[in-house]
Amino acid sequence: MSTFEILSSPSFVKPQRAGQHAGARRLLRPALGLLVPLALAVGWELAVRAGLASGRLVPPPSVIFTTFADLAATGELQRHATVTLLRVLAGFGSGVILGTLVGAITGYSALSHRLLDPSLQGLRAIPSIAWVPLFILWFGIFEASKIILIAVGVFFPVYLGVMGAVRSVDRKIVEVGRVFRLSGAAMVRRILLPAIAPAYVIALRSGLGLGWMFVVAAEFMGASEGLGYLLIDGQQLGKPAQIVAAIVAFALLGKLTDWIVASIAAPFLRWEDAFASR
Amino acid sequence: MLSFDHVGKTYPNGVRALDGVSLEVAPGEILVIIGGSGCGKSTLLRAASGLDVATQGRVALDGETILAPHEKIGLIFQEPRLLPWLSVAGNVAFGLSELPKAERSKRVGLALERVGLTDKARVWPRELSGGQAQRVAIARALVTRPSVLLLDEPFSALDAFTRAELQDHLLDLWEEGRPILVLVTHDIEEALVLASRVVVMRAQPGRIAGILDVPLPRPRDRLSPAFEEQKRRVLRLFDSTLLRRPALNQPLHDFQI
Repeated sequence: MSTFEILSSPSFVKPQRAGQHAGARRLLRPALGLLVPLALAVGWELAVRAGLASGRLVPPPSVIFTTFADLAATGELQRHATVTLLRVLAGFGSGVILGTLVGAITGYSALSHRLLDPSLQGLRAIPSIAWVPLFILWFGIFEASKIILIAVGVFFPVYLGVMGAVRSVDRKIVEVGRVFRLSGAAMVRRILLPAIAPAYVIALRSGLGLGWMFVVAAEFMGASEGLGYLLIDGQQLGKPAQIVAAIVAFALLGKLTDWIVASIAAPFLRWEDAFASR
Repeated sequence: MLSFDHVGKTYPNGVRALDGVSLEVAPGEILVIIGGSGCGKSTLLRAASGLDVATQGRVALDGETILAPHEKIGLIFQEPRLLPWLSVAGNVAFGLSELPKAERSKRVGLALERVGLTDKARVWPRELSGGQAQRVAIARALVTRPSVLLLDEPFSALDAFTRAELQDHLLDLWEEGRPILVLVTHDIEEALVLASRVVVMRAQPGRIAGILDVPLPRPRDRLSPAFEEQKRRVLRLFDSTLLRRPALNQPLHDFQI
């Protein structure tokens, strides 16, 4: 057995563990991450109940849960969450489509890279929130300006990811496609797309994260619906539990949508020689 | 018949990599091009592959000028260059996308069997050793049944044992269809194990210094006196190609102040 084979053999890379321990560990390892937040939550709850703190500005978990449940029971939470989710999806969708197209073009053609990239990098340097007043003037205070703001936020990480990934596709792999006389379209489909897939998924996920960030900014600029409205409403009416409930809803939706993107992408990335998979 | 007719290559920066190389390779022949670095041997091979085009002269296969990659010409690089997102079988099938599925999987199965990797068909390229990966690359190039197979230092990144094993293996595969093989190497022993003819090149600009027939029957014994004799012939020719810098031949006192 060569050194290479020994080093890459499964038994070297993944030391075998005794059977029953492996099962228990698989359950326990993620649970370990819950320990700190659970301890903090329980600690705060006990502190408020024991009268050590009032819990008026920082409501204990039980109050947040009740608020959350009440909002859900009346259908308010679902209504606001749906509005926000739709805004994110519309903004994310258009940002991804534009970012992918422009990124692919500037990545593929050196001329358009020289032509467009400096301007785009310049625009990227502007904090997207700075656009808000202008967007309100241009597109009004309703849905259009909100969705455009989110799309702008999503566009840049996707553009940057796609452009960088296309430009750094290994020339040696492209030559393999040339030797097998792939047409332009086949070269894109069979070489370039799979080659940029890992970077693209990361770009999509960071774009989605920014989409959730910008939806809050968008809803701060005068919305009558949405989770961002719940935040503002909670502040103005002095209902911290409602603010935290909306934050929890943001966290759940953000995590859920990210998980959906990652799960859709997973089958395309199984080949990756990832550090994490060792 | 693969023919090189006064092939030259001048890069845009004015460097002449290759100058007036004329050569004909007959069907069933194994031609090995050998030379030091910068002698233009890889440039010559890339011109034959159609990946690069010669700036002077022409390369032709059976009279057809090669200006772009050709379906009858396969190319194997120094690195395996497998596509990491395709399984071993998917990599071998890469050039067969126009065939119906049944025919494709039959050919892939056969090719993997020929390189002894049937059990690796479903494995990702990253799980292969260097030698195995290069065998997959050979299978990928041969599965389209090219009439010319070009190899650019295909074994130079492998250890000595794997290299010898793959040289023998390549000969076995060649015996089946006897395509034209053109192999570039800097390893004299590798050249003599494989070649029907050895082309020795010299640098600046890349030119043919000499062509030697290798009259030994295959398989060749690397330790036999006849093999050693051939090695000496190549080395003598090789020696004559070395650039003699006038300064080095001058007496030392010329440099003294």
